[in-house]
Amino acid sequence: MIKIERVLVPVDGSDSSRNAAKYATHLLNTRNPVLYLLYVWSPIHMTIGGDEAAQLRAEEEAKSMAMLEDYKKMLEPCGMRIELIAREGRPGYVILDVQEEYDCDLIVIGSRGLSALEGVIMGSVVTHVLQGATCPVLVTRNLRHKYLLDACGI
Amino acid sequence: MHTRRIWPWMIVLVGVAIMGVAPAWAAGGDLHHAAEEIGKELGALWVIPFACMLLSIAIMPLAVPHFWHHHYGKVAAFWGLAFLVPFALTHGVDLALYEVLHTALLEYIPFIILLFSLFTIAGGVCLTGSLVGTPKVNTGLLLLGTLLASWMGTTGAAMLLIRPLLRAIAHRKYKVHTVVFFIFLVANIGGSLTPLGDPPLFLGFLKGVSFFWTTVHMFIPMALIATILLLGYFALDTMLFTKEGRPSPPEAQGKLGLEGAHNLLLLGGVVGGVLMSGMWNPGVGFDIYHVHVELQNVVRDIILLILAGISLKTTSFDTRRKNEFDWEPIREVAKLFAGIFLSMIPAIAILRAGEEGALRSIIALVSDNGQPNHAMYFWLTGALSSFLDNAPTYLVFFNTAGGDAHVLMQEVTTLLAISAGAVFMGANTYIGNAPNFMVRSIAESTGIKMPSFFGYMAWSVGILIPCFILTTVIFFM
Repeated sequence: MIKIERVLVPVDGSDSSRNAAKYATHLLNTRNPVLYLLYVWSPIHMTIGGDEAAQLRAEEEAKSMAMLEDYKKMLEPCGMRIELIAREGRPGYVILDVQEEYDCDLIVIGSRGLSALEGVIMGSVVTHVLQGATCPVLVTRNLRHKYLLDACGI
Repeated sequence: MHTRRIWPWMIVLVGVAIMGVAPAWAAGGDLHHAAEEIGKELGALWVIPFACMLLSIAIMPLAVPHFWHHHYGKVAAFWGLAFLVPFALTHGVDLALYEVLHTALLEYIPFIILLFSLFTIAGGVCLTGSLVGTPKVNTGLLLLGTLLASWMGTTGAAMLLIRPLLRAIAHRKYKVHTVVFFIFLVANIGGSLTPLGDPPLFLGFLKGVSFFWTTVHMFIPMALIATILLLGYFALDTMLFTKEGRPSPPEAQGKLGLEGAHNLLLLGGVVGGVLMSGMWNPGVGFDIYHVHVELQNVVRDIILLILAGISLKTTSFDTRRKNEFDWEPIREVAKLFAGIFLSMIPAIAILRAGEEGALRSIIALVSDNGQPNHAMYFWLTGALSSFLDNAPTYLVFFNTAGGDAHVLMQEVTTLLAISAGAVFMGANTYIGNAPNFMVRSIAESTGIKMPSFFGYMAWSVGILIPCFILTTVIFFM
């Protein structure tokens, strides 16, 4: 049986990503599971550099970690190890970088959909993750209540 | 999400307004004539939104970075509207609409399409593996970038080579000088030879300057400065390499490779498309609210978009990921330049009015007894290009010099001074040209402590200004 020990859940503060995180807790099936919660913030405007950029990055990281802490609190009843990761960049790329860096066994990602124009020109984050991931990817969307029940009682 | 869904409706609304209402407004007057003459009527105060737009780009990222990071698009829109709304109220909605469409259809849209296609296609080429950053290899990479910049744009060449260069010098102690010379050469001076190289030259092309005029006349000044800088860099890097104890990289280097090489063919297509629009003139066109759009330019823009589309579809996601290809830079450029082009309308109109316009004092600065002062053109265009964006600065001085491409091409030296000033001196500061701060940002992301805004200027004043003085003496005195 393939063990799912390290699961990566990219989150963005949406209900969809909260549900994906809850659902991911069902899937870890080892003794020492780790759930990686990842938040990616947009790159700092390129005209800003040096100390100003460093300060903005520190602020963005603090905000991201605060949001990730909320997710962690939500998932704490599950009792598993939860690691928080906040990075700057394009979500599709960063998710794949983190998956490789932490050798994740599964990515669980909530999809919100995107506008038609964005879809044609850019593709969604989910599409990019599906294209580039070297581990299985599970996409959740509009999860019915029954799939969220019994997620460690949360 | 909701905001994004509003945009298509807004575009439809504007379209309906243009198609349905505008012809009725236009029926009564000759908008061409009114637009030609308006520069004589406008006072110098009309230039304030343009000046503030450029100053915002120069100052706000330093003074209020947090605000700028979140609201730069709104700032650009504000300064655009700060011109447009009062202008529509005082000179009529019909003339304001004509001016906006004229700028959008003939300048802004082609400009953004070119940048978009170069950015997209060049962003699909990835140089993999690592070189060892010895003085010879580093100088070779700078030379390669300088040669490529005129054909794939300074942004494209900089994005192609900055990561391989940073990997090559990763084991070196002294790295800043390499990045600084890279900005000088690849992000600026290398782009001198074609309208694809640097945005100001493409704006000149759109105004009627022929494609190869730039190549022929800019070659010697560019070659002179590039040679001095490359030799200077080699000497400096050799000295620092020796001081470091001639270090070797700790790990075995990956094999060199080129991913997405087919994009180089697509870049050839971009060159062909732009060349075509300059050489083919079928004499066919159509009017959109009295703005005459020529067929060859529409065909060029469609070709460029198709080439960018092919690049997007045929380049692997993995290659773009290695380049960290992202839409954000081009989105930023599109937003900022929308504000720049809009707020620039009155400045251009006044300068075109020459001695009869409110900015006659600027014209007096660059002329001696009615004759153009080439050195002043070079230094004024350059000084403003250093701190403001070099593309609008080029247009301002192009119009100050009369704005007639055919006359300027024949006269040669004035246009050469404006072109050289705009392209070369974009290297003087981080904000002089878009790839400058892109390169700084990428270098900082790898842990290199780049000089501050003024620290960088110490490099440029110490190294570039003597080169520009030499250029003035040889070419513009």
